[in-house]
Amino acid sequence: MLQFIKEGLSGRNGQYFLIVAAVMLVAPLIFWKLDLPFAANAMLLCLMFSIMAMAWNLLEGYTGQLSFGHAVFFGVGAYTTMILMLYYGVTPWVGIFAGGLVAALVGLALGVPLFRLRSHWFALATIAVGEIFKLIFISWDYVGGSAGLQSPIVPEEQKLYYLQYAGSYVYIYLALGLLGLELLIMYPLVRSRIGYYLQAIREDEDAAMSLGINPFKYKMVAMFFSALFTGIGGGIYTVRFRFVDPFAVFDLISVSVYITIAGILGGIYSFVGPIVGSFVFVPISEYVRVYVVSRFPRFYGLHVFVLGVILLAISLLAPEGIMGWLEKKGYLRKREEGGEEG
Amino acid sequence: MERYICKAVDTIRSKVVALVRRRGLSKSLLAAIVVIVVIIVAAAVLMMQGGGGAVKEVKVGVVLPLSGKLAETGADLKRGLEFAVEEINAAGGIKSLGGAKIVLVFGDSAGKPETGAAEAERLITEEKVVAMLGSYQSAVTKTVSEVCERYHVPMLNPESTSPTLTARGYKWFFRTTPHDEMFAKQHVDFVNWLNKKYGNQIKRIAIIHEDTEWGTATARAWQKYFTQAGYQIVKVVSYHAATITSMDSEIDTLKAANPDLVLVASYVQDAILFVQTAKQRDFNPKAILAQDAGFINPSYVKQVGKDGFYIFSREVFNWDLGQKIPKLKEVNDRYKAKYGVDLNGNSARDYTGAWVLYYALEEAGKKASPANLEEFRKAIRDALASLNIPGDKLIMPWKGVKFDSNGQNTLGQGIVVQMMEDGKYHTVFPEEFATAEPVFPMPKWSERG
Amino acid sequence: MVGLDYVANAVVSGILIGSVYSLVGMGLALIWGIMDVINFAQGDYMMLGAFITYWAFTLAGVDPLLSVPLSFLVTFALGVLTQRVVIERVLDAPMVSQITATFAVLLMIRYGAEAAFGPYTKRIYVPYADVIFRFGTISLQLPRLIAFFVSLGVAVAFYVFLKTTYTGVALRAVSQNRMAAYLMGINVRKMYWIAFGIGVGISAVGGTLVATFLPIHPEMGGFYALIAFIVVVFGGFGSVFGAYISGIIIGVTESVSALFISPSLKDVVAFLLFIAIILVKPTGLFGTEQR
Repeated sequence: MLQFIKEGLSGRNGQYFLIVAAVMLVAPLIFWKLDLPFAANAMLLCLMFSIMAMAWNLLEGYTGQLSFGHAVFFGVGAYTTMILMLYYGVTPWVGIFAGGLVAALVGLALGVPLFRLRSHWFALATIAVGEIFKLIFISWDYVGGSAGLQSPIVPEEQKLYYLQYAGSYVYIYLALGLLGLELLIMYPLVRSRIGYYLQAIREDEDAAMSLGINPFKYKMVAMFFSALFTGIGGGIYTVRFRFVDPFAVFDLISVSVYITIAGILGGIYSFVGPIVGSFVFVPISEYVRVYVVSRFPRFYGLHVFVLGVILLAISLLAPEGIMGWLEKKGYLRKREEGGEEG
Repeated sequence: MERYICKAVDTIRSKVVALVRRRGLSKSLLAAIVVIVVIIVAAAVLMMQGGGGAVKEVKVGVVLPLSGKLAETGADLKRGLEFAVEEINAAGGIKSLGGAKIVLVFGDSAGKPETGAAEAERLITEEKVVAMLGSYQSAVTKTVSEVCERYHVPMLNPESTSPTLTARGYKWFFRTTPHDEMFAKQHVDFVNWLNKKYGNQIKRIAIIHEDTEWGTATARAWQKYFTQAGYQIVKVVSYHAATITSMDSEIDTLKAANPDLVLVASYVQDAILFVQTAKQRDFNPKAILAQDAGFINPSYVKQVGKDGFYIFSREVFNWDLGQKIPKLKEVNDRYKAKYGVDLNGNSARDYTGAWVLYYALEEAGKKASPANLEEFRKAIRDALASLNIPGDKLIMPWKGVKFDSNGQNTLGQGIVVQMMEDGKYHTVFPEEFATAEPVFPMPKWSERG
Repeated sequence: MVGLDYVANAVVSGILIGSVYSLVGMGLALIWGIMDVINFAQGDYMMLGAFITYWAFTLAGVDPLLSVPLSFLVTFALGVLTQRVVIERVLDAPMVSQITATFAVLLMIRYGAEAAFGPYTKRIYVPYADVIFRFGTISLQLPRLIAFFVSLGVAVAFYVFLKTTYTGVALRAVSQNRMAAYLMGINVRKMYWIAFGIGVGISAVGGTLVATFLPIHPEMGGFYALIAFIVVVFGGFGSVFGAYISGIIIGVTESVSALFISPSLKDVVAFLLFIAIILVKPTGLFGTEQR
């Protein structure tokens, strides 16, 4: 793993990375000092969506399986973290990872039937699965049904154990740490043999199979990590808002589609594309919502309409996303291997 | 000073650029450090420019669904609050604070719990509000009140009815409106009253409800209290309101259970569908009793037409209450002159909420000053906890406002209304507020004109 | 507890609502079959049809039945426009671009409508809404009955169009082999415009019919789109006739399952059915080919 870190941090891209990381580490302190909770919350959302969009992209960008159902993993992760904390007193420090793991297992279980489907069919089925999960959680009493679950406020001395802090500042560092972890796992993964197998499956599943690659097996690997980190994203949501309900966490538009837009906007053939996409997309959507829609509530829906315009523009004009576009224009150095990033 | 900053930034930038051009890991680290320093300096400069002012006004934060599907309701609630605050300020503001004016600062929840929480944080830390009002949907109120509890900011909730809100042992949360369990208990009182009046015709009860938190909690409370009161629950049917396109099977299941009374918890579209299908399937219980929401929504009233006659609904407020509550008539006249619409259950509850908060602010002003925010918020909390407002000071059909240790107003109550042949709801229960005699049992569909 | 007479009524009411599902599904199946593009915005064109009817009724007093052609023609035009501006450009693009493009169209139509019309529920009051026919224990609302016959009429007309007219035959040719059709002198591009226009137009007729007996709102398309996907998968890939039958089957499944299991889970049953079918028989009940 060490040589991957070294490799990742060398060169011009590595310098960009360090600068960005430094800014990210300092920014919450500034938001906190200046009392800018809105900006801090937007940053947290950016990070949360970065984690999830990157995970989503392992399935889409690398493996070619377009999922509109990542809300399932997000929701399962969020609920697992909450239930462990609420019913069993398990600290979210463990619960977030447990949530990721449960989401990953759900992912594997869903993968068995879903990966028998290809292209359109897979995308369609993921939408249906998302709706099924929402409906089931609405009528499942153990998880609080449609009322959802809220964790109680804990005494001061248990704050660290239950990870309860006011505002988003602490959670930004949590999310940064988890994003770092994701990079540490994903980067070696996509540069390993598995990563190239996945891309082979994306390009031509039958050809990949004829070369002795078992598409199902490697799709399942991709699904595992994709669901794992999306579930972890759900865990962050739980500790941050300390409230989950089926309508918020299993929402097709504000979870699944947002993840998809963030990923596609950033560029699905780029490793860091989804992060860039999240940091562009989430602030736009938040800004439009708070400063435009609130002023003109009569025109509610306009903010999602704007997202539609953005999405259409990308898919028609720059299907390779921001990172792909930057590389094409020569602002970014392409990776030596070419195939994966270009 | 700005010139110096600009110059400094320029120099640093050129150095950074130079460093980056030369590449190399250690140098890029250096560059990162430089960037950090720049940001910190900029932040420090920004911070120095802050400043405070004298206490001429007291800010109160409000989180409401100002956009989204409930924007119409949100606008209504906002009007109720603004109207009350205008009256309070015109009458001399908070006298114990030398006539300081109340200023409402609004945040939009868009109907989402997480957005509401983020907005509450913004209002509390950025706008430094002394107290919070809102937030209509129970799910949003849950997260907003949690933020308030954490920051030790008193929150007064005039209009969310989920029983769980006041079952959390919060110290900073107060609710003036009765909640769904209290309403369910009142439903039992009403049915007992009907039975006494018309000779025990109601024994078998069926329930149909939509499956979000509100409908589910209501149905659960109904089951509990009606069973306790000795009624037989013969059928409970739930459905998913967002996607329902036909209610034939649901109504038939109810019909097969042959109930005397049907209790309904529905939103607008499904309420209309329910009434239409009941007519189509010739389903004739002796009475239909709804839990407000869809059934009292103006678009339901407008669209259901004569099929909605004789249906009972629980309400918090009704247009004809002015005949029984003189203060209400007076306020409503002024409100109507200003906005061109009558007060309704939502705007009246928020109007009342703002006044209740005002009484607490008066009390708090005697003990603390908003200059010390923390102390003042605590004083408001204490004032709310010991508040006791008699019913005649309110425009609501309540016995008054007095909070229990969970922050629930124990003196609130609802009313029961029935749609009569003029297409309007009339108050029929409790007797002290009634303006009409109930029609019971409701005529069969086949006997109607 | 639940008598046989209730089951009979549930079946009939399922057939009536199912005939509307069929229309939305047929539109989707046509576009899918001819261009191999999934139009995610299908339900939203249906919503547009409903709103066109609503405005024609409210502003000009046009009876919803008379606005069937209106709503078809307007959405047909919009469909051709969408095809020219959006779909045409992504026909040969990777699947992800195709899906995101139609998804973008979905967001724009649905939330554009929400911004323009407001997010509120609207409803048309037709004079014959209250007419109810009773046959024993079975009862029928006239608007739903009309919807059934109009939908049947549209389906038959469409079938005749595909079988007998030049355009219809050309459409089928394009769907079978694009290159061969092109070589035979068929203007493939124009056929695609027509296909997309008719596809969304038929769904819009479904919207018009729904508006006569159900409240409408800008986000209604989401549910019908999901139903339409189920219909198409059930009926078989690109099979327009299969879509019609399977729409009705799904309507009946929903309404009968509501009698016997919790009604709030009836959508779950439909979705599970959907996944089960694509797993067991991806070609659908009436389909023959799959790509």
